[in-house]
Amino acid sequence: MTFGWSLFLWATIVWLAPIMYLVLKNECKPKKNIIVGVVLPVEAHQDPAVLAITERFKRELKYICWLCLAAVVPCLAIRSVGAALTAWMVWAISVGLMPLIPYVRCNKALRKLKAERSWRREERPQVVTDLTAAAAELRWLSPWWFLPPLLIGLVPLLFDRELWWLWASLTAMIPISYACYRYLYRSRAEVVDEDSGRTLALTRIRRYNWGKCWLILAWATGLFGIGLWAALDHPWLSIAVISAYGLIVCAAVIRIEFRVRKLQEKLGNSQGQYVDEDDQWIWGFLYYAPNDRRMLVNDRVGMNVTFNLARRPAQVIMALILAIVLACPLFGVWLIRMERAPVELEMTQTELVASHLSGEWRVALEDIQEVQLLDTRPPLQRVAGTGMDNALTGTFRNDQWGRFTCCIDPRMGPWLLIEGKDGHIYLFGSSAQGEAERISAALAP
Amino acid sequence: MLLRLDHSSDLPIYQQIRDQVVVAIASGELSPGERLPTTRALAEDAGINMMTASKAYQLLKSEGYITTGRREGAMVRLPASGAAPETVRGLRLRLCELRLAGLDREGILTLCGKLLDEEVREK
Repeated sequence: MTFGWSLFLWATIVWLAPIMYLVLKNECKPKKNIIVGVVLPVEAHQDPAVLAITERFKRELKYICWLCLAAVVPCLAIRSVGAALTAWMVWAISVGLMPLIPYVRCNKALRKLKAERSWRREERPQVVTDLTAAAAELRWLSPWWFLPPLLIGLVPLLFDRELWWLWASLTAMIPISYACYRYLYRSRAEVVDEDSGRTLALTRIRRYNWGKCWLILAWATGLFGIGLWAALDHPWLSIAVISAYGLIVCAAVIRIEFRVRKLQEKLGNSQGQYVDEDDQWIWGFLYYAPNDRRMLVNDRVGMNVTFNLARRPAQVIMALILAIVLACPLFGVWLIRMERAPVELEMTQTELVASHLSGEWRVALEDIQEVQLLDTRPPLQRVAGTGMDNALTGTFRNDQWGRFTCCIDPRMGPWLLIEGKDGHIYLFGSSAQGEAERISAALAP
Repeated sequence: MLLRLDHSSDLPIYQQIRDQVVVAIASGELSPGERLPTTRALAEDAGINMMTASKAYQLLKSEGYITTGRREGAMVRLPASGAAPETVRGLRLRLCELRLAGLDREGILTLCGKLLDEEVREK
């Protein structure tokens, strides 16, 4: 992998460290009387002891952020794709988990201080509901808003049958976005205190921005499908379209999340009979309420939702998610295996088989129209498949042949250009020297 | 009006809902004609079973504190003037408990007067 590709790979993810820093640092600003997952009375928000704890938390967060950023520098020197991707995934997981250590420390310190200063609001855990706010009917976004992006997303599916799975997956994201908007949202009012007007305003803010997020995702995905379809034969343009899509969606979601938090900060702090549900939140961010029959609940601040870990299905889903995330680096290990595996070419009685690790491409001998041996490697642009230093496999294209099937070791020529009776082109090769010439001779009439 | 449900209490949840709604009506926090959430919305909001919410509403309806309709949902209403037979029965039981606790007639009347004064003052 070249330095340029390495730089691009890390540029796709390096921003996660400052974002994690900003999101967690933002928890120090009181929202709905909550500071770093602990409900505190308004008079405690500027208490020197509280400020000292939050300042220490911010300092630790900053160190972790810089440590994560510094760790990227040596990773830029990794040349193996598999090793680079393994490091990339381990780094992403670390950035997600490491800042939680100072968060939990800060949360525990604030809870201890709260107990010492008798700032606890309720003697026994209580579930608080605002009957007036719960009675208010809040309107959902019409599903018609999601129809235009769905129709836009269907265009590539109608015209490009070869990559139907790609376009179908992208198009499926749009109804999934609507389903997430409608069914993942928890209709719980944002109760802060006895002021129902405040509760209703905060509930509307959350729901409106929740809908906005999913609508932006649906439209961005629809337009992304069209953009990718138009740019698919131009690798740099494809990369630009994919990057723009990721950038737009992430920027929109982060901006909306911070906007919701800002409004919660502005409207949500109460001096009245404020609600204190700290007992149901482990470390301030894990919801555990055995008496609550909901599996999903709203996050305490921002607009996200989280699982009720007291429910068995939620425990299973969380365990699965955690297992998948922690297993991600194994994908990099598999890529390292791919880097070391040779491209093989074999001719049986009935067919020609090109293979690379678990990928196999077969052509029946009777379907072969013409075979040529190419000494120079033709220009190749990847459409879908693997592009590694030792193997180019999958669907590729160039101006001369259009799209074709490829399975070659680009370092080891010559390569076999095969034209099928149906007009389909195959470019096959082998990592073993002389193998392509031998098979070419065997296939010659 | 804030409904505070204590799951560790011996009092069933539907009874806690019923009691708090009655207190809120008496204190003027809930006024006649005010809409209450549907049983589904209440269950979703409080994280309780829909049957529990439904049971609380049925109790409130049977006691005349709310009305329920298909279109307008549940609404607060002022109960008919005069003590309902269930309330008189409940009061008699509490009076017996106070007598067994050692309070005489004067003591019971003083306690009731004090509680009533507090209730009126809060309103």
